[in-house]
Amino acid sequence: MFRVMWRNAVGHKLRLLLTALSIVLGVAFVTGSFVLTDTMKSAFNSMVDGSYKNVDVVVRGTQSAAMNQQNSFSSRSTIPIDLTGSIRNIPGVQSVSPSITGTAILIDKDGAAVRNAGAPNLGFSLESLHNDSFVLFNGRLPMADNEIAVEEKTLEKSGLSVGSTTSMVAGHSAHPVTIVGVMRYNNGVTAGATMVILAPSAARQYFAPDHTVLTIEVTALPGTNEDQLRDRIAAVLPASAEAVTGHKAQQEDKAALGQMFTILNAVLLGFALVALFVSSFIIYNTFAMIVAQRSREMALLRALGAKRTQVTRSILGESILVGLVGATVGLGLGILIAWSLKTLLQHWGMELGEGLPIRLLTIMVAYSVGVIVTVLSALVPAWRAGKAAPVQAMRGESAATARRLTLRTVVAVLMLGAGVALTLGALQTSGATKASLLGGGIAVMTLGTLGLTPVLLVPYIWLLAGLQRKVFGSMGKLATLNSRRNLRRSALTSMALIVGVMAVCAGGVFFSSYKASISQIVDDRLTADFVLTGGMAPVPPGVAEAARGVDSVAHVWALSGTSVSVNGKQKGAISVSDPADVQANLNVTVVNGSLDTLRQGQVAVTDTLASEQGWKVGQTVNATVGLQAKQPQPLTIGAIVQDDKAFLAPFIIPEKLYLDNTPFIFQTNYMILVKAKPGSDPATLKTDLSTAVKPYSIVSVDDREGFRKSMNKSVDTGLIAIYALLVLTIVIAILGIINTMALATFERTREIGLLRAIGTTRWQVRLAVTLESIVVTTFGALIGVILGIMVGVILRESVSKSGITTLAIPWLQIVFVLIASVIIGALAAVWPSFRAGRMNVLNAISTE
Amino acid sequence: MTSTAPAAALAARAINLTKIYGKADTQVVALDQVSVDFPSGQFTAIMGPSGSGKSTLMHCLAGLDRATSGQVIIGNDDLSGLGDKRLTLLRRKQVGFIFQAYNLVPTLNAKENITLPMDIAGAKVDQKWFDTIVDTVGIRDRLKHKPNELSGGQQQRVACARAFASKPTIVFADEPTGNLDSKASAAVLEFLQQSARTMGQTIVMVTHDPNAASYADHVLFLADGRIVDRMDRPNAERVLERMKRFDSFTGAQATSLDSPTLAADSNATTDAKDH
Repeated sequence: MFRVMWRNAVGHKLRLLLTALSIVLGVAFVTGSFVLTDTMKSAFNSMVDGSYKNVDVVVRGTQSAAMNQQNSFSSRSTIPIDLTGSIRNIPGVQSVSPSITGTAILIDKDGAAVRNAGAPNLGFSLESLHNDSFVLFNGRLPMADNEIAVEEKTLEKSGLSVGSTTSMVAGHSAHPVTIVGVMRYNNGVTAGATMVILAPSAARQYFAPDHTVLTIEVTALPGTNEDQLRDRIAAVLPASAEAVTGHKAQQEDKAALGQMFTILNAVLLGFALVALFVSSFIIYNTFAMIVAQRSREMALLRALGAKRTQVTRSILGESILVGLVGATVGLGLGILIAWSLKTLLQHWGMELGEGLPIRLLTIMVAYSVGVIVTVLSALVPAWRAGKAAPVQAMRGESAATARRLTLRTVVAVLMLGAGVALTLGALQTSGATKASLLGGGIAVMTLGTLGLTPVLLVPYIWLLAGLQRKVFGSMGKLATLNSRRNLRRSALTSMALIVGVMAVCAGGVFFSSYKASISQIVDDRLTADFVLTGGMAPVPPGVAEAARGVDSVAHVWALSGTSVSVNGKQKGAISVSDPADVQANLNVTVVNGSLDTLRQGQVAVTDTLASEQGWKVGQTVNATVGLQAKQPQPLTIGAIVQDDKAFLAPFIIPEKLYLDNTPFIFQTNYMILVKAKPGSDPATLKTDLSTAVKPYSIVSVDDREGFRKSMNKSVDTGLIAIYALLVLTIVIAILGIINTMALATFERTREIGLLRAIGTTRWQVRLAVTLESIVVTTFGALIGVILGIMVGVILRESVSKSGITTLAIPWLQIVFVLIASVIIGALAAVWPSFRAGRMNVLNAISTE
Repeated sequence: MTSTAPAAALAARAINLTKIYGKADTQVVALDQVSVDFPSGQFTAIMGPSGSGKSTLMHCLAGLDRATSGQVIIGNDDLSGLGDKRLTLLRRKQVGFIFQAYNLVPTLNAKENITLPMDIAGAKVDQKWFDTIVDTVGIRDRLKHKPNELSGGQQQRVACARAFASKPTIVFADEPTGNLDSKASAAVLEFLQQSARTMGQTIVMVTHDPNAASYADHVLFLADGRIVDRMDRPNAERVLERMKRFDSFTGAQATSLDSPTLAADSNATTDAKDH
């Protein structure tokens, strides 16, 4: 039996390859995400290793009990630099260095910020360089306040060199600097972070004017036990500080990184899963058709004494072969994709080190995913092959007799109903329950719809038949009849497209609504003339100062974000320097009380929060301001304002409260709203503002329209991920259509031969095949669009309470998708139709 | 044939038709300088042992296959040198086909199968002619049925109707009764015979069944790619006699002749005597 299977597989290389291709893409996606995340992880881990070299004990602020769910530096309080004095005298300590670091952005030769998207911009004090992770290899170390040394990749990107003068944004403001040296960090593996080294006095001035730091790093004398030293140091620390060994801190950092990459990997694997899900339809279809075509051969084998299980096993064997081939090629392709992405990232400045880490696990996952998906998809056809009765199949009847769809339809309708009920139910709940109910509901709804597709095809084809007949005559009619021939097969072929189109339409509806809501809120609420933002980066407080100094600026509201915790429940908060700045820049409706009370140190809350907590104006609550471990303090509610679900946060607190409770290096603004004096010229003001904030370089000055556009643009980036998914599923869908159409034309060899004999031209045959393909793709697109709009509307509805208040359906995009589906159908049919047209008439007629 | 009706128009003719398969030492001469005329309105059977070249001759005549050399003329059109597209259009207009395996389109019902050649050409169906054909083959009550709902005989009658529906210059039938029982065979053959006689339809039938050949006006005997004999007003016994002579010459080939059909069909043979 093995020989029969092997001959079959090898005898149909093309078919094998096409089927394997659909698996290749899924496996490539899986492999690519594993290899890429491993590459990034190893680069980041090597950075962590570098920064903990020679660090035996780390002293840091304690973490508040309420915040312990998030292990980030910003959730720890800072510690006094003075602690170094008492630590230095402890026996076994070789050296102590406070880590005086913060954000430092170098301005390049063209006046733009040197930075890599998403990666940090770090500034280090020379006195914090306690180990040899930095190596000076050109020029000298910075000595004066206006001197800096720059990491080599950062310098390369800036286009500057030793001796250049430029400026640098460090701490709260911008400073002129001269580059005096070049340093290499961690063998050049920086993962995209930019690095600048400052003289000790400058660093203290910019990063620690409050004489506090996040950590103090201690190096032990040779032969000193880490744990013992840690205990000795801990003994002299105040309650607000703690000591841990270097190893522990290193492990914590790596764990946090690991978590980040697990999330990234999960998102990528999610995409891969969709691809594999879609591929499984194609594999099922291919094997079902192969079994149908070979039913006579199966019957012959059975008649010759092959057992049912032997026939089944021979088909499964072929599927394992397809899976192995697909997994092997997919593995290679995935590594290639990871390598290309790595090269691209490095080209953009994200230095990830040498080599691609390919773990045994990656290879094992690739092969098991490839083989398991293929075998599972081929299981039903294989079982059916074994079931073929010898006599029936010997008569040459096709085994693909139309089975009744009743049971399937009933189950599908029930699923669809259950899915709709689940999602509607989900809308009434909130939080994690809502998300999982919603996800489950949508999944069940989708599966139900997919199950219904064979039944839905009937009216669709019926509707289309008239049009096809009218426009394309007899070939149009044949095409519609052929697409109805095997409803399950046509439906299965369309499913890949349904899933892809659904994703793009759901995303389209969601993000269009998001954009429309932003526009709406900007129109309704924002009264500011200009908005200053740092893109993804925080804005240094110096920018607000600079803006205040511009003529014809009336009000500047620099928004800082923090949190206020009441009874362990953390709520978002924004800061306000003066209530008048709020009223000038934003349309705020005060429900109760007065915003003026903020001048007396009271706070405002939104009506949403007030009603949730049952708070009234004048009431005092015990709350912790900021993320650091602080004692709760009494806050008096001075005003209740209407929630706009966009600019406002649950708490609106006076700026002083924010500054008092936030360590100096964490003090930033995320957005600055500027209102002009009445009668001032907007164009002049924009120029003046731009000039004023020019030293900060990262800050962009947008008018209302520009702000709306830039917000929309950031939404569009979210769409890219969905389009990538769409492209992947479309490629798989095309492969599926090619495969199905090629096998279908092969099945109909005699029919096509007859049509050719009685006067059908090659192009008429090709037209019929192409039209059939288009019937399938347009059906897939149509169902996908309907399902996608439904899902998009549901998703929007589920977040309507958190700001996405407007529903917008991107009709233009949807029409484009439908038109594209016609083109996809035609494209997918190119090869099968060409083959059908070229079929030799004599062979076609004489085929038994 | 030409000698008996010199004035009759020719539906098709082959001139020095040669077909060679393969190259050099593996070369097989399927047709060797065959020249033959098919006068309009005549029902001609082509007989011969397996491998004699009768199918190749039919395929070349019908424009389905290209000869290595020589000419084929259908109606007024010379087929040699025509491209695939022109050949296809010629087949569409001038040629009708009946196959052993019926070759109906399974998705179309009987009526749609019959009008298929006109549909493909985008031509209007001549309703009167359609009715005539349908009534002649006797499938009026089966027009709405799909092929898989029809018996073999009914399917072949539908196929006959399809071949005649577009009023082609010539109809080629390739073993039309090969898959049918004796009763259904007789019905189809009688239809073919009648349509030649009453409607003047030119028919060329390839068969190795002497009984089927006995319905034709003439029988051509093919062996080793040449026309070796012809018989006018044939009957089954004479055809069988003639075929048996191939046996003695070409031993092994004769075993593939379908003589048991004849033995089993003694009734049909008796009927055929009258023709």
